[in-house]
Amino acid sequence: MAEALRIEHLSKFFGALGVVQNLSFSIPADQRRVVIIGPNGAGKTTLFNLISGELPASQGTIHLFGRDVTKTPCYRRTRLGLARTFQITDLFPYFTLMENLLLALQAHDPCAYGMLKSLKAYGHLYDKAEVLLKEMKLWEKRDLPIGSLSHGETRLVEILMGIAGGPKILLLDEPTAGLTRSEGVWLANMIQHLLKDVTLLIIEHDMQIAFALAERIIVLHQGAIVADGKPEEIRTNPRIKEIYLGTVS
Amino acid sequence: MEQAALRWKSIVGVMVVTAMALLVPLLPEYAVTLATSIIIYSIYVASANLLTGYTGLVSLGQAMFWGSGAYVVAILTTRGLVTNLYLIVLICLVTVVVISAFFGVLALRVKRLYFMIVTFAFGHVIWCIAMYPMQSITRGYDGIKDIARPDLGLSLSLATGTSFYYFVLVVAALCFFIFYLVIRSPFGHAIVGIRDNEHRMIALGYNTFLYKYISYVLAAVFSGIAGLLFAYFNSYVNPSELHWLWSGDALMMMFIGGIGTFWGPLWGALAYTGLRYWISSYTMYWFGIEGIIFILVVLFFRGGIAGFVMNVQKGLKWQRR
Repeated sequence: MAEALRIEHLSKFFGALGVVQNLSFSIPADQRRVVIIGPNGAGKTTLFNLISGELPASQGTIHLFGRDVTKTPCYRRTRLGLARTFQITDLFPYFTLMENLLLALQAHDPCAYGMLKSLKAYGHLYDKAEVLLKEMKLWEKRDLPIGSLSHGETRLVEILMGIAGGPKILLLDEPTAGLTRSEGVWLANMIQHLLKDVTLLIIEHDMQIAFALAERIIVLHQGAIVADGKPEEIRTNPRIKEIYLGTVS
Repeated sequence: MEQAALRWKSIVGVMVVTAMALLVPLLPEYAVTLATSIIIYSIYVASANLLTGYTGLVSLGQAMFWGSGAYVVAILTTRGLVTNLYLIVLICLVTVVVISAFFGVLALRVKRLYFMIVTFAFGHVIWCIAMYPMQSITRGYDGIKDIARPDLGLSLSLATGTSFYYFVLVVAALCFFIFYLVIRSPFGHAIVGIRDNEHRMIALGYNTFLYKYISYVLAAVFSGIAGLLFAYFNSYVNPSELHWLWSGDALMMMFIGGIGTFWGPLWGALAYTGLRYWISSYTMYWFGIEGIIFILVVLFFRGGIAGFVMNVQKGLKWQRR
C-alpha cells in the first residue's frame, strides 16, 4: 500500500531541549483518521510544524506520497496536497468571511498571480466558496468581517481554510479547541462527513472526541511515541493511564 | 468590503481626471506648476503605498528608484546620448527594474524593522555613489541642470507648462489605472493577506517571498516613472532625489493621505505640497509645522485624509437611513 506520510527518525531540538525525539511512523494512503494525543508539552504541535514545514527538522526525514520533503519549503509541500489548521485561530481579521475563504481558494488556482483581471472575474472560486460555506451553514454570514463571528464559527472557518485547497492530507491542530462538548461533537461529525477522502491527522485533547473519531491513535509523551494502535488497544494500555494520571511511587 | 469599495473607484477616477484636465489649465501659471508637482508626487506616494500600505513592507529606499529614474533622464538628455522620449522611458524602466530586482532579493531576506534598515542602507549607498565615485557623471552635489522638456513625436512639444501638465496627467491616470487593476486582482488580494498575516499565507501555500518581490519591483517601477517625470518637470536633478529623507517624505505623504487606501497618495501629495507652499510663504520654519501636522494625523486621524473622507461618507449614508 502506498504511503501518504512517512516519518523516519525525526527530531527537533531547541537548543539542548529535544521537543521531538527520534520519531518514526507512517500513515498508509487509505488510512483516514489518525488522532495524536498526549499531555501538554508532548511535542504534538511541534510535530505538525515539522510536517508542514514551518519548522526545519533537526534530524530525520519526512516523505509525502513517497517524496522526500524534508528540505522542501512550506508552500511547496501544500502543492503536494498537504494542508493544516491552527490550534489558535489564525485568520485575516480585516477581511470578510468570503474574502478569507477566497484567499485559501486562490492559493493553488492558476489565477494566483493574476494582476489584470478583478478577483470577481474568477467565478469558479466564488462557486467553490459557496458550496463550502453552505455546507458549514455559514453562507448567510459571508460578508461579515471575521472579527464579528463567534468563536465556534471561527473554528469552522479555520477548518474551511484548510479544506479549501482540496488537500489529500489535512493536519488538524485541536479543531475543537475552545468549543463546548456538544459543539465539538457536532464539529467532529462534520469533519467526518466533509472529509471522507482525505487523510486526517488530528491533535485532540478531548478524549471522548478523540476515541470517537479515530481509527488509529498515536500517543506522544515527551517528544516520543509511547503507543500506536487502534483505539481499543490504546484504551486498555496501562502506560497511557500512567502518563495521563501519573503513577504512585 | 475592500473589494466592494473598489467598485466606485473607476467612476470617481474618471471624474477626478476629467475635472483636473478641464479646470486646472484655467488657473494661473504657478498653480499649474503646483498641480503638476502634486500629480508627480502622488505617483511616487502610490508606489510607496503599494509596498507599505498594501504589502506591509516599510521601505526607506523608495527615493533610490525615484532618483534613478530622474538621473537616467538627466544624464541621457543633457549629454545628448538619447533624445527619443520613448527610448529614454524604456532605458529608465530597465534600469529601475534591474536595480530593484537586485536589491529586492537581498532586502526581502529579512523582515519588518530589518527590512526597513536594509532598504535605508541600500538607498544611502546609492546616494553616496551618486555623490562621490560617480561625480564625473552625476556632477555630485551640484546636480545636473538644464534638462530639456521632451518631444512626444508628431510635432507635439511639451515645452509649455500646460502641455506638460496634460502629459503628466495622462501618465498619472495610466499609473493609477494599473494600480487599480493590481489591487483588485487576485495578486492584490494576496499581498494584503501577506500584510495582515504572512504566517498563515505561507501555510495556505503562498510563495510569499515571490509576491513581496513582485510588489517591490512594481513599486520601484512606479517610483522610477515618477522620478522620470520629475526630472523633466524640474529640469534640474541633484542627489537629494536619492536621499533617504525623500523616502521618508513618501511615507509621510502616505500617512497624511491615508495608508492602504486608493486615493490616499493623491490626498497626501496634495496636502503635503499645498501646505508646504502655503506655510512657507509665512515662515521659514515650515518643516516644524509640517512635523506637528504629521504627529496630529498619526495621533488622531489614523486613516489619514482618505480615511476621514470615508468616515464622512459612511456618516452620510447612516443619516440617510
